[in-house]
Amino acid sequence: MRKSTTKRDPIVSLSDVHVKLASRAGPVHILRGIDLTINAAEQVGLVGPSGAGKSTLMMILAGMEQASAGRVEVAGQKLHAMTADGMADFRRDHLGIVFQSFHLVPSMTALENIALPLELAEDPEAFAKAQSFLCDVGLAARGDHYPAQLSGGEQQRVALARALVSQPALMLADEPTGNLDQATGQLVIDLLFSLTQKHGTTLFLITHDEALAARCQRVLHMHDGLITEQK
Amino acid sequence: MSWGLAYLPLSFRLALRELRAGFRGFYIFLACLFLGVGTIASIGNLSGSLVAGLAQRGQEILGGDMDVRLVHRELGTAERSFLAAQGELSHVATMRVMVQNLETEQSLLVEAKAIDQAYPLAGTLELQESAGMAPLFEPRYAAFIEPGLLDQLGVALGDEIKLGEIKVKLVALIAREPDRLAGGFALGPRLMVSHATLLASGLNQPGAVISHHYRLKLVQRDAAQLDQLRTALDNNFPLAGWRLRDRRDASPAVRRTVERVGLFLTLVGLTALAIGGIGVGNAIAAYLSQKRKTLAIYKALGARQALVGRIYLNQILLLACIAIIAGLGFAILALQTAQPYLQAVLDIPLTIRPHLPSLGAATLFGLATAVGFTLGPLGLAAQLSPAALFRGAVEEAQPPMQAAYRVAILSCFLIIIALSFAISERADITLYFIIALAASYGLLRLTAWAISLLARRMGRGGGFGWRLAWRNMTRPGAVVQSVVLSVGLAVTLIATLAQIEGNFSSQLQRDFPDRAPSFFAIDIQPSQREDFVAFVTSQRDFRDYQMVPMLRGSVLALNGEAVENINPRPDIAWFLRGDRGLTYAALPPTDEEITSGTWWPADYTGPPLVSMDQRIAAGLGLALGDRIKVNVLGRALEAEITSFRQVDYGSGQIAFALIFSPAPLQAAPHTMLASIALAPEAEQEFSRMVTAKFSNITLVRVKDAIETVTQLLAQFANAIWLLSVVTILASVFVLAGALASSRQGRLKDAAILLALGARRTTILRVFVTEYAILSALAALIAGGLSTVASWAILTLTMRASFVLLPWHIFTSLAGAFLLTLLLSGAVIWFQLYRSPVQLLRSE
Repeated sequence: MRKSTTKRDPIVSLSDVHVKLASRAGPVHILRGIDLTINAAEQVGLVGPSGAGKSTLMMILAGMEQASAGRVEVAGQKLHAMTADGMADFRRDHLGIVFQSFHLVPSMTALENIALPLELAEDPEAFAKAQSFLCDVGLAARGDHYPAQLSGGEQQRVALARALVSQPALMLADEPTGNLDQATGQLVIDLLFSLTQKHGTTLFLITHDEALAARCQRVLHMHDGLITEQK
Repeated sequence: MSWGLAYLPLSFRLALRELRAGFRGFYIFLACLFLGVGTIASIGNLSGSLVAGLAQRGQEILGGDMDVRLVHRELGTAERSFLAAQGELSHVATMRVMVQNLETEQSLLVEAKAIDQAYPLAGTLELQESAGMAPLFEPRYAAFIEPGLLDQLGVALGDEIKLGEIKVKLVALIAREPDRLAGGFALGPRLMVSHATLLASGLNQPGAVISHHYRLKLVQRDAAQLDQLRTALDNNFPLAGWRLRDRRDASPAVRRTVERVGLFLTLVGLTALAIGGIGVGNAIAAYLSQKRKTLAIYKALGARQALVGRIYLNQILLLACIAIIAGLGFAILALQTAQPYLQAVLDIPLTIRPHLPSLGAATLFGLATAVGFTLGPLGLAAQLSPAALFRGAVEEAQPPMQAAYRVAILSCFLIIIALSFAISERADITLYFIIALAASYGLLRLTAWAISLLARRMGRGGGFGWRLAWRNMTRPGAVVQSVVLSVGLAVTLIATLAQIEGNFSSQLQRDFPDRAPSFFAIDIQPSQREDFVAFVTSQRDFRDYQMVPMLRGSVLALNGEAVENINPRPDIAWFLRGDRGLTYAALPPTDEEITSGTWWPADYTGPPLVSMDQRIAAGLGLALGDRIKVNVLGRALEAEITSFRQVDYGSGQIAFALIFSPAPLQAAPHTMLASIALAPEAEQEFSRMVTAKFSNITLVRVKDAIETVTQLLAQFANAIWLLSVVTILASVFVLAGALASSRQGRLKDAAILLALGARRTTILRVFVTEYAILSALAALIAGGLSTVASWAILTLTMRASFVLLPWHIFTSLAGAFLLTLLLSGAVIWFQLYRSPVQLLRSE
């Protein structure tokens, strides 16, 4: 499932990427020419004000949005040339995502939520692996609980386990602590970093928090649809 | 569930997981489908059971395995010997005659039936006040009667009444006559006598309209035997002129009526399902709208578009199955529960067993409707990108739906159309219905679109409430289309039914009697002609009369082609079925126009010529110079068509489809038919005097006949009105669904307006104004649609005249308008009955 990469291999390669969205009020130019390379197992943080285009960039990397122009290559896949189903397969096989709002399926238990990506990949060991990751995030006893029965922090840990369960090459995290208090957020972030390191997963972290971004090996700044600074 | 159901396909497992949350969001979906399927299944189950009952008890209804019917004449010796050799034979004769109360001289038309001692060959004649049938065959003249005769004639059991030239004693009441249904349309109560009694009455005179039924009970009763016997009878006696029926279709007229009434009721049910379909579509759109986030999660985690589609389609199919099974269960239980009542009202044997073809058709209708109306919103939701789904994306331009979804939707509607034709014996009516439904749907959608355009303009001016009401119609998730379609379709159906019924009742009860005669007199012997005319014209209250010769005959062939091989237009098929009244005349009728051809000279004595109703001729594809062969009294008579006439059967005057030149028919034994117009107050006395003076002449009082037809139509109309309630209910469900789907947006608006100081009544006025505008415009369009539809149904399929009935349209429209206002007003008021804080918190 997972393509083998070395630390020197670029896992993300974006070249002059533009995104324009149509709306009733007229087209909106969200990304205005992004060039970006991220190597395998690298931890990259992206900071910038609201409306800068951070989430749209993440959607482009996740293959959830098609670029209006430019080249998008992730984990060796040319996303700009893919169909919607091709991009779905790409996410299933190469990607893990953690959202600010957790985005768990409310009608499924914690364990079922974690097993879902593996079920989509028709993995016969889906639930056994999910149980193991549930233990990894410290929620072994909460597998039968529904999202509504979990706290925000617990929900985000379930989302983290779900993102990592298929051992993706790239983990995208969009403001993972945005809806959590500081202590809980810290716990989730520690888990995020330790687990991605443990599994050798590339991390692309979007945040408003400069201190949090600083924990990454590289920090990018974004403003008005452009990456303005790299540290 | 996760572990235990691992053998199920993933899409099914995920669908089941989602349904664990309950059926919230699906109630309108379930209600609409249940209502549509339950209605169609109930109607199909009932009519199917009735037809099955007719078939199963065919021998009893027919009075044997085969019925050989002759009009005017009895069997010849050779014919009788042939039939008697086939099995047990019984002879029954029926005719309409007058009976009279000996004391008061009050007279009454009865359906007389003369039987022999072999009667009934199948089933049992159940009698009250008599141990058996013996009293009927005693030397003294006796009769069994239906209880209704006692009241109508003012006599009691044991009394004697006058029948023709004799007195007959009423010895028993008929509780159940096994072959009653085969008798057809009854204008009076049954009077059952022996053949000897009928003969003694003197009513059985040459040319009298009397039907002789010879019933056979075969030794071998398999279908092949029946077919062989039919062939043998046709081959051995080609000119017998009889009409054969066998137990497999014992009462074709009743069967046709059941099937036709069933068809009309099914079409009303289909309208309910079509309206329900809109509710189904709305419910699914609203459900998927709530599920946007989950859809996006599936996609974000790598689920393909087709899998996402299947997850929700599986849920919808599962729920559709629940609704359909509930609908079918309701149909079966309802029929079981209502069986005693239906049996009593319909007087047709009911076989209480689920009618599988009808239930199967209802299931397919339900599934096709559920899937057809669901795939639209599902197709659009499944193909949206996860990013768009996360964003809400109401403003984004949606990509066109995938071809596979389009094909699937089209297939569902084609299945519905094909099924509609499959269950209908009248393809033309079904076709008109489908065209009407599609046109109404299209026009109402167009109206909704036009209202949305208008709303953009109107939302800019006027007072606060007025402006906001219009602007609500342009907001995302506006209810314009739902309200216009559901209200529009329901009102179209109701106003159409109201106009059709109004046209019928006005024609029957208002126009017709003014021009119609008081009586039709049948079985007037040619020898009585002068006396009868003199008697009639000498009456103080006499107004008018008309008298023509009358024979009965059946059509054998058109241009040498046997009628069995002719497939006529459905609306004139009756002309080739059974016996027709025939007449001859030297001069053309004064009140009918000859539209083409020429009438024969008054003294014409050459080969037979015939003048024909132009509408029937057109339906059969006949032209001047073509030939039509009829069987009269066992003799074949072929005549050339020399003219066509415009015949108005609704005029109340005597009208014949076929009028022959006099030469061949005037020598045949026949009677005269007369129409007589009198002052209404003289009718009772006239009837009494005619029966006393001309005992063999039968008077049919036109008012009584109209009353009988009106009662039959009223029963039919009641059934249709009962079903239209289902349509209204479907419409209410759709409206409720539309209100529910827009509830969140409205609550938020209301909360903000309340917080800014608006009064509840102001907000209520805004919302009710919106619904008032929508339902008024929808009803207005529906008024026009219903007028076109009722005109088309009356003139094109029923060949009746159409009169615009503004009051009927207005009451239908006003009723629907008020119902919509009340419903929407009540729901909105209930929602507003909370403080702004509660409303905002609920957000």
